[in-house]
Amino acid sequence: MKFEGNAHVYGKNTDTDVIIPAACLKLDDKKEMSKHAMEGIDPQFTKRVRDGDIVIGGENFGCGSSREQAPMVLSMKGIGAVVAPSYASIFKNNSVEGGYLYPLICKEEIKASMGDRIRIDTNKHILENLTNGSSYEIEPLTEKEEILLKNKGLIEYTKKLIRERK
Amino acid sequence: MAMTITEKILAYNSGLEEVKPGDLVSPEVSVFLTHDVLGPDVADIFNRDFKEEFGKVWNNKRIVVTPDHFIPCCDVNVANRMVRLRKFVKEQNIVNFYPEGIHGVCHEMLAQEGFDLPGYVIVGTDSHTDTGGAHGLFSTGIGTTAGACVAASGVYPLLEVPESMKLTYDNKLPEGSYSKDLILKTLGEIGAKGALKKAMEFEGKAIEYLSLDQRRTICNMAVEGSAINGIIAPDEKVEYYVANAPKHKGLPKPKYFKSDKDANYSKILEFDAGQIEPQVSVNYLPADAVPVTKVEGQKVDQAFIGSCTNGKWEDMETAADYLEGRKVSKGTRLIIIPATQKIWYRALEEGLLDTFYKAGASVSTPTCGPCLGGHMGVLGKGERCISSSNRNFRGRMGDSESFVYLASPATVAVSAVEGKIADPRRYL
Repeated sequence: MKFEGNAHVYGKNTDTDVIIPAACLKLDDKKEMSKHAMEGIDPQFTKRVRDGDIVIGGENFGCGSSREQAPMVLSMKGIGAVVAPSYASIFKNNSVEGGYLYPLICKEEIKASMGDRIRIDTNKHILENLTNGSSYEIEPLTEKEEILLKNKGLIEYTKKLIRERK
Repeated sequence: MAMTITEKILAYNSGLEEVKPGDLVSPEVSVFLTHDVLGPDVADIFNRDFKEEFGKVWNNKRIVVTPDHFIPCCDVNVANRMVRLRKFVKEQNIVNFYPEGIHGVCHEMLAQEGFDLPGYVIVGTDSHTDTGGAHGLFSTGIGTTAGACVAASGVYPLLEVPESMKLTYDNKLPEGSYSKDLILKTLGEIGAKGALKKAMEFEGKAIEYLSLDQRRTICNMAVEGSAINGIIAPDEKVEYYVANAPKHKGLPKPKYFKSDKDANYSKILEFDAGQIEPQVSVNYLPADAVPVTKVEGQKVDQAFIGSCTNGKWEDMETAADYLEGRKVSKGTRLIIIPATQKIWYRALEEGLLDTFYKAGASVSTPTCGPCLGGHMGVLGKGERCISSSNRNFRGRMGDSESFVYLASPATVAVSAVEGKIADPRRYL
C-alpha cells in the first residue's frame, strides 16, 4: 500500500474521547458525527484535512473506549493511515477489523510538523517526510492484519468461518 | 507447558491443549455483551452482512443487551437508535434484554444477573468489559464490527493471546484506602501504556481480603493501563457467587482455573498495600495518579459517585458512611447514581437514599450518564469535578475546558462535603 498526504501530528496517549467525544456518539448521522473528529484537541482538523492525509501520533495512540467510531471518523475525513510507536489494542483492532485505516507502527521518533508532506510505502516499509527529507522504517503488518487483508476484512473472514463450521 | 490463568482460559475455550503469548486464537464466546451506544451499529452490521445468509444470531441466550450509557433516552437521536436496537432484540428473540425498569450499567449487570462465571470468555462492545475478570474469567472490549461477527458466529476471531504481567499486593489496604486507590496507585506506577497488549493478573493477601465488588473495580481499570484484560484467580468468594447468582438456561458451565506456579510472566511487580494512600488522578490521564494530599484543597464544582467502576452496592455503603449526618458544601453539586436498579432499590430499603437526600445529593436512576459527558451531570467550561468513575480524559465529562479528578467514593464524598478535594482519612 502507498499513501501520500499531509501530516497531522499529535502527542502520546491521544485518547478516543478527543478523537471523537462521547456526546457525539448519540448522533445517528455518521457524516454529521465525523464533523467532530479530533475536536477535543484540534478544532481546525476537519477544516484542514484532505483525502489521503496521514496522522502521526505518539505512544499508546487511541487509548480509551471501544468506540469503533474513532477510526471510522478519521477514515471518513480522509485519513488513510495513522503512524505511531504503539496503539491501544482496541483502537488498532477496530481500525483493521472494520477496514477503516492502516494503523502503522514506527518505533523511531518521526520528525514532522503539522502539514509536512508524508509518503509511505508499506511494501518497502518506508515512511518519508518529503518536507524535511528525513525517512523512517515502518514495521511490517501483523499476522492478523495480513489475514484480514487477504480475506477482505473481519466480516468476510467470519462468514467463511461460519460456513466451514456448518 | 506451564500457563497463566489467562492462557488456560483462552486455550480451553479455543479447544486447544495449550496456547502461548502471540498465538492467534478464535475462542468460543461464553457471553456477548452490548449496549445502547454500539448495539444499534452491531444490529445494523448484522442485518447488512449476516442476516440474509445466516438468518439468526448464533445463540439468543448468550447475548446480553443492557442499554445504559444514554438511558433513559436523553435525546431524539438516542431514542431512534434505541428503536432499532429493540427491533433487533425482538427479531432475534434475545432473551437477556434489560431495558429501563430492570436496567443498570452493563458490567455491573453482568455480575448482578449471574453472567460473570469463572472460566468464561466474555467480550463486549465496551472497553470496560475487562471488569468481569475479577471473577476468574477472560473478558475484553471489542468494537462494533467484531461485535457483529461475534453475534453471528459465537467466536471472537483472531484474538492474539496476551503476555501476562503479575501484580502482587502484600498486606492489607489501610483504613480510608479502597480498591480504587489500589488500582489508581498501580496505574500511576506503570503508566498509561504500562500494560499495553498484556493481561494484568492481580494477586496477593490484599486482594484476597477484598470482596468481589471491590475486586471488580480493580479489573475494571486494567484497560486504563492499556491492558487487554484484568484477571484475579477465583477463590471461595467466587464459588459463593456462583452458588447464589441468578441462573440462566443455555449458558456454559463455570470452570475454575488458576495460574501454574512456573507460568511465564513478562513482568512481576510487588506492592505493599499497607502503604497505599488515597489517590487522585489528575492531568487528563487516569494513570497520572497522585496521593490525595498533593491536591487537597482544590475547589470542585461537582462530585460524582457512580459508574461501572464505583456505582456498586459497597460503593453506595461507603458513600453513605461518609455522608451520614453531613451536608454537601454550598456551591458544590453531589450526584449519586447507583449502578443498577437493584442497587438503587436496596439503597432505598436500607435507608441510604435517606442519607443521600439529607446530605443534599441528587440521586438518579441508573445510567453511565455523566461519566462520559452523556447526560445527568455534564460539565461546563472551566468546571471541575471529582468523580468515582474511570476516565478523566480531556472533555470526558463535558466541555473540553472542564477538568476531572478520579478518586474513590470515599474521597469523592468527603470532597463534596468540603467543596474541595479532601482526605477521607480525616473522617475515620
